[in-house]
Amino acid sequence: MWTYITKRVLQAIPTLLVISFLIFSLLYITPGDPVLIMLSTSDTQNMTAEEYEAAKHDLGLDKPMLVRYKEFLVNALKGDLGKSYVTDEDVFKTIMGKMPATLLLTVSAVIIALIISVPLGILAAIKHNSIYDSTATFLATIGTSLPKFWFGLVLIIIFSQNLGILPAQGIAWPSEGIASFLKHLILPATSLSLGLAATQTRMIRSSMLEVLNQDYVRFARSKGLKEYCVVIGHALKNALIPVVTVIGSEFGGLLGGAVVTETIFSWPGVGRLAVNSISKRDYPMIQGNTLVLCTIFLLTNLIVDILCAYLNPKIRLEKK
Amino acid sequence: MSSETLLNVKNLRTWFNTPEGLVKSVNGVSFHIDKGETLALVGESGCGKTVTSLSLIKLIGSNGVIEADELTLNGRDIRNISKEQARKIRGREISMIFQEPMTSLNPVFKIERQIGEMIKIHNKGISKEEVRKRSIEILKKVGVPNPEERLKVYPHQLSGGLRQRVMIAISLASNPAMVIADEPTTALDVTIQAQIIDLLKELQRDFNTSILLITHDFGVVSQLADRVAVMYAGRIVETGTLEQIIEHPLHPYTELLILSIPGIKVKKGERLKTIEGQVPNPLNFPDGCRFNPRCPFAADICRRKEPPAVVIDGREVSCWKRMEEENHE
Amino acid sequence: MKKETSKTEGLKEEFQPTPYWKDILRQFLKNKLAVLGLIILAAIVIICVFAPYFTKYDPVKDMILQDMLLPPGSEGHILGTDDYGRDIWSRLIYGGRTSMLTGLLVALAAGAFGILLGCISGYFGGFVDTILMRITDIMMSFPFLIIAIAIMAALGASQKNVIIALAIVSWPKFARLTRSQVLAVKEQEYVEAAKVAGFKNVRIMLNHILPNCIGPLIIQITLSVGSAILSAASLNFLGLGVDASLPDWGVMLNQGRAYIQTNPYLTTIPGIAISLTVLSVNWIGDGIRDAFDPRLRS
Repeated sequence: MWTYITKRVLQAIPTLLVISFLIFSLLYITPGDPVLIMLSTSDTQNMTAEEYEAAKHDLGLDKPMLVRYKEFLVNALKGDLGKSYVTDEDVFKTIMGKMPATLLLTVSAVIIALIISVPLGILAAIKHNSIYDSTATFLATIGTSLPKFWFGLVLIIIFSQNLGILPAQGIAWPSEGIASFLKHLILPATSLSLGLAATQTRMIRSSMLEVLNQDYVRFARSKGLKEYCVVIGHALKNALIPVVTVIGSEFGGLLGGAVVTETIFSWPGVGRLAVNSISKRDYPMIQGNTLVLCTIFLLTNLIVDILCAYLNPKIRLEKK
Repeated sequence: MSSETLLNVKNLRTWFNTPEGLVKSVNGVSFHIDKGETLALVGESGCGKTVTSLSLIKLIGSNGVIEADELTLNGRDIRNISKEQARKIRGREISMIFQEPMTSLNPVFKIERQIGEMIKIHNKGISKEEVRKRSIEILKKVGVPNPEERLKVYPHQLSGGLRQRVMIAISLASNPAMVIADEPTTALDVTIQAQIIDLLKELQRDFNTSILLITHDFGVVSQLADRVAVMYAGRIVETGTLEQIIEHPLHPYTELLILSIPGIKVKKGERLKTIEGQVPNPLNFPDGCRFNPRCPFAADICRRKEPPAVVIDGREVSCWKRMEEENHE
Repeated sequence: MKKETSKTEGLKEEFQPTPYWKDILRQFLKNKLAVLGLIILAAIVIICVFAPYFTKYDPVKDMILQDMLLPPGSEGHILGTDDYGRDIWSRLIYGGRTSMLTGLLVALAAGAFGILLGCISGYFGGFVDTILMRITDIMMSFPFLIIAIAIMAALGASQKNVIIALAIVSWPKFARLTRSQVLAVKEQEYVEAAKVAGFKNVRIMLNHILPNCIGPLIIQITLSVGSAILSAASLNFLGLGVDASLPDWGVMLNQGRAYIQTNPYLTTIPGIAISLTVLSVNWIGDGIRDAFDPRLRS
């Protein structure tokens, strides 16, 4: 088990290096002079050659690219991602300030997706080829085909505008009252969970179908176990191994979706910060955001892989 | 051997609705098993042996229908029992041993849980310590060394032979009246096969359990069975005692099956026979005797009419050729 | 039953694909949802391609300010007008051109690049394979949309850049899939025979290997068109994609959002268009997959 964990952590390091390098170099593939781009908020029209050189030096842009990448990386490891061009605030601190909101949203979405998909997928599998099965599959296809953000907008139109029972904007923390907290959370989290719920339903269905045909399920039935014990006790744990793996990689889609969902619901998270900083061309903020989100994604995948290994005794007990 | 009947099956039919049509996997199978007796159900794969055995404990897919003229267990009619009653028969009265010890044990649970749950469901209110004690006892009985430690491991940590022993232990843990052993040795190495066969014999003596042995291998049959029923394409073509079947097979299919494996009738150096062709598709059985396309003695009547089961020399057989010979004598 | 097939016989067998394709087509047509998807998609494509024949308004230039924000069903404007008084039906069907073209080009570009790399990786193996697959792994471990957004931020907003950004994040799936297919096909007798016969690598790949892994690739391309339309809509909705004056479903949603309280139809209509298109593409994709799946055919 420990060897497995070490191996997975070591594998994540080059990935993180490549990501950080790509993110770092994004600024340099942007058409135009980086110096001017970085100074875009101030007046660059009447700049003298000396002022330009001075600015270039201030920004560190006169050094070779790899040297600057090394500095970027070393600083990033220390939690220093530079300062915002717009607000002059510390990028890392700003992002971390917004992170709880994003994590709340994505984790809630995962929970909602599981609440919907696990029963639906199991039902579809145990009633294979029945009306339940085809309905679940049909719903799942629709779920993957709707644009998540549009689904969010439709939810706003229905529950906020027409019914007027749920707020369409903003966040409330549990300290502001549980009812308000849940009311603010439910629409964004549901809209974000849609795609995951749909893919998970399909995954759980096919995984369950496969497991239910296994010899050990037949053997469990031949023992005289109740059907409930066979499905939940014997089949589900095996069926969940591939499903959990997928949640890991789907989490990336969820983070991307969060960017859009947060924009729609004015949710004060990292995604909305990213979109805002793009429109303001706040490069350190864009870089910081992307780097942090990618890192979180990698960490989640790492945790999920380890969890899967834990679920599967064959990997857990491997000595080498 | 006691002559008290444990299980009696008359005209069992198990049909499946499939997208391709109605599949009559088992169509008119009759046999009985006495207490403490071993009946071998022999035939090639795909002839309906496994479906027959699963039908007894109602463990077939939801698209299947089971009917019978008679189906009694210990004198009790179990034809139209509820799902709940059927579940109570499984494990407690009839348990199963499957072919693949590799895949029949749940890979994510320790052996302890897999034996324990068998003991728990069939002994209501039993204490944890008692379950553990009995698990260790039964593992010892089936010859698993260091049973206390083995309880703590996962199936993949055991060898194939040990896994099969564990599976046998599980199926005997509830002290059932009958065990269905579906190809119990096919997936094992030859040396381990012999050990498992000895084990089954020994256990049957100790527990006085009846065994329904399902196999295609007459080698296993000759070592374990008291009586033999030969099955072909959803029907039983011949039944008899082990000696009768081996020494004087009446049906050509039985004879060819015996001659196709070494060591029973075929001596070292002699050529083995092969049965030409394949088991017919259950969607499209041949007219007449179902074996006629592969039978070296097939005559005109074999292609037209299905042979009835008749009693010849005190045992049942369904074959036109035998009936004819019988009539001539 | 197994007959010993000589290598030339194996070659011949593989070059008679007609009954195979017929069989797949027959299976596909049996799937009701797939056929429904095909009909819907065909209708949408025809209307969008021949858009000028289905509307008298120009989607961008015909702004009639006194007719702005007319509800659906208004005279002359079957789906109403937007905040500039432009006909929504006209913007919708011209917008379909942008959205579907984007989806198709992304799938084709990503497909071409991914398949090429996958072939090279699978066919040659060894060091090349290790390096290419390591890159693919790393690419696949990025969160898709976030990277696309970052690329858009760097490249600037335009339709071309949307296609580039989405193609960059989509190719690794194709590379993985192609590689695994090639690995499976490569070992088969007719490929060995072609090698023995002295055919060149490129020719073996094009004539012998690719045609035999085409099934899963077609499915992947189909499903990619759907997801690319969705991703492009997200980018355009965020205002990071195509020029806001262009008709596009994502752009329309972005513009409609400002009027969500007063004129919700500006949001619902383009959303339904996207959903219906992607749904029919997915149904077709599922239909193809089921038709190719040998387990469902016996």
